[in-house]
Amino acid sequence: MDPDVRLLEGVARGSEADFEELYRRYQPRLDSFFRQRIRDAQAAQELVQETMLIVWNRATTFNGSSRASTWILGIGYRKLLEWSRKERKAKDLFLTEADHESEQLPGDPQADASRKVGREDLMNEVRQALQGLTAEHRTVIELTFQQGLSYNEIAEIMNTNAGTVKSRMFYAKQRLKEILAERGMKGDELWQISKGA
Amino acid sequence: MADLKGRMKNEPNGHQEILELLPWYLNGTLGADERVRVQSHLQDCTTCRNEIDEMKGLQSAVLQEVPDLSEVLLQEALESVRGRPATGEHPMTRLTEKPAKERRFFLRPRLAFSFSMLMVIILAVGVYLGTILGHAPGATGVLTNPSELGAMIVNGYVVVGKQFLQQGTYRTMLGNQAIAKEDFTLEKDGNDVLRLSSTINSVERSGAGKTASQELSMTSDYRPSSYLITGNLVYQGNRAEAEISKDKAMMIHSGQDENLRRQVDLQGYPVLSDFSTMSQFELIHRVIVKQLDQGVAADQILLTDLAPQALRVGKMHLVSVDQAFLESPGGTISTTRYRLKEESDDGTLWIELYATSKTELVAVYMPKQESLHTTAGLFAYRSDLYKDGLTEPTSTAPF
Repeated sequence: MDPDVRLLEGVARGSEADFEELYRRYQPRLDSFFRQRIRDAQAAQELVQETMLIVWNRATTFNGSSRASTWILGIGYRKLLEWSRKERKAKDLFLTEADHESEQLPGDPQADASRKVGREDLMNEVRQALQGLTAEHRTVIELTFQQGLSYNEIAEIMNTNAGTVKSRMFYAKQRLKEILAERGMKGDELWQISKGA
Repeated sequence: MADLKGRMKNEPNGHQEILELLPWYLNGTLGADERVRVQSHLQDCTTCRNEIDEMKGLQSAVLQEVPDLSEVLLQEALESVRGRPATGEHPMTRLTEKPAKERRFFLRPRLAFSFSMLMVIILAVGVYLGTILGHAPGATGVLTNPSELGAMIVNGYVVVGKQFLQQGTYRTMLGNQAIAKEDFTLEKDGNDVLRLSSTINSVERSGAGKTASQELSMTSDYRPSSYLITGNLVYQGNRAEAEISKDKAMMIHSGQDENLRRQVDLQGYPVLSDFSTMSQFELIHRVIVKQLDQGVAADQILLTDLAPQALRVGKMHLVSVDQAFLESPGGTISTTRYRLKEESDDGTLWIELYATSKTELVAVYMPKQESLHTTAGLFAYRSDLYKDGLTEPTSTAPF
């Protein structure tokens, strides 16, 4: 049995020890997920606490139809949407790609294509460019690579279907390369990073 | 999306399909069959090998250092849950589970809209139409029934009003408490544009400023094209609207100091719902009936449910259709019951529609359930038809 499921069952019975273990497993994951999205460490911590509190309160409703991680991250994702609305930051969260056209992040003037940069610099460039993607595109990338979830699990969390998840990933990467180019990069940075730049 | 589909159609050997699987091949979550197909394809496809290199670069950039566990936060969390059952809605001290997931009952408006007042308005509109259309004096008619096309003679002109399809009043109950009253009119104008308008009064919070008014325009097949609701009952603002095209919907929520919007792709027949705007279920009921009449299987009916007030989008499925009975002081009423399941970011909501005919929806019921966060089920019924009330059904969710 998935050890997280076992822990959730313990939490459902009111076991504080199982809750502590589950918290130890998920607090860093959730914190990382939130921080990448809202760049506000304090708010990210609060979201982690609220998410884990819901896990405590609602563990009895977990029915095993999905993995425990999908269930917990799904709660986190919904908390994030809710927070964004409540904090009036939904504008950022729900900006469409067209909206982003007029809100491009200013390019680093030193980041021209002729500049010699190392792998870490390239990764920083990519991370900054990621901020220019729509929330939905970023979420798919982060849930895939940061959280290691399958496309079906991501679809469940984002309340959509697998085809949409795949197409969002496809367009996210396409758009990411466009943003890198707009920031004066060559467009082959992802390839360079993979080769150790 | 269209160009993506186009490429998929044109490229042989499932190349595009494999290309789309690469991120999950890389993170190790593909099933065995897909993994084998990707491995096989990679041996022969330079494009996909390059793509996977780029995906590895993206993965490296995204895989930042995971922060360490915060012992302080852990202790806070443990302190919050200590000694409290894991199943209850226990009060928290330091940590508070915010109730923002609750369904937003913004309750709406209602002008005291008597039929006589309606007639005055019809008359005014009719005079205008009659004038601009240049109808000659002649035939006559009287608007006697909402389903008939109204016509009358005014100053020697035949005046053609609008075709009324339905009008009435919904009373919404939460347990034994009446919380809202909504008067609605569904009409069709000369251009076959359908218009659902309503005014809502919050009974629960009566007084000035506790109203809202709604205008929903639809094509002749009940597909919404625009939506506007304004008033103080609009959740966290005073205006919510939606522009809906064939493929996309833009939802806009405007308040005093915020202007939020969300564009979504429609993947099903669009409908609108806000759970205090019961007349919108008139539209949903008609869409379902229309599709069933056209031979669409019940389990194939998929509606894209838009809620501009909350910028929420969900999927609505028809779960079942059966015969059910409602009780009123006047006797038992036989109805057709449509059970619906709505899934959105806010969770799952189970809804029942009760209709006495294909055009006469008489009640909407949402049993008590987790996503409602209410102490009782929500029951709305046509109080103009059942003046002595209807008894709330006894269904439980999930059905």
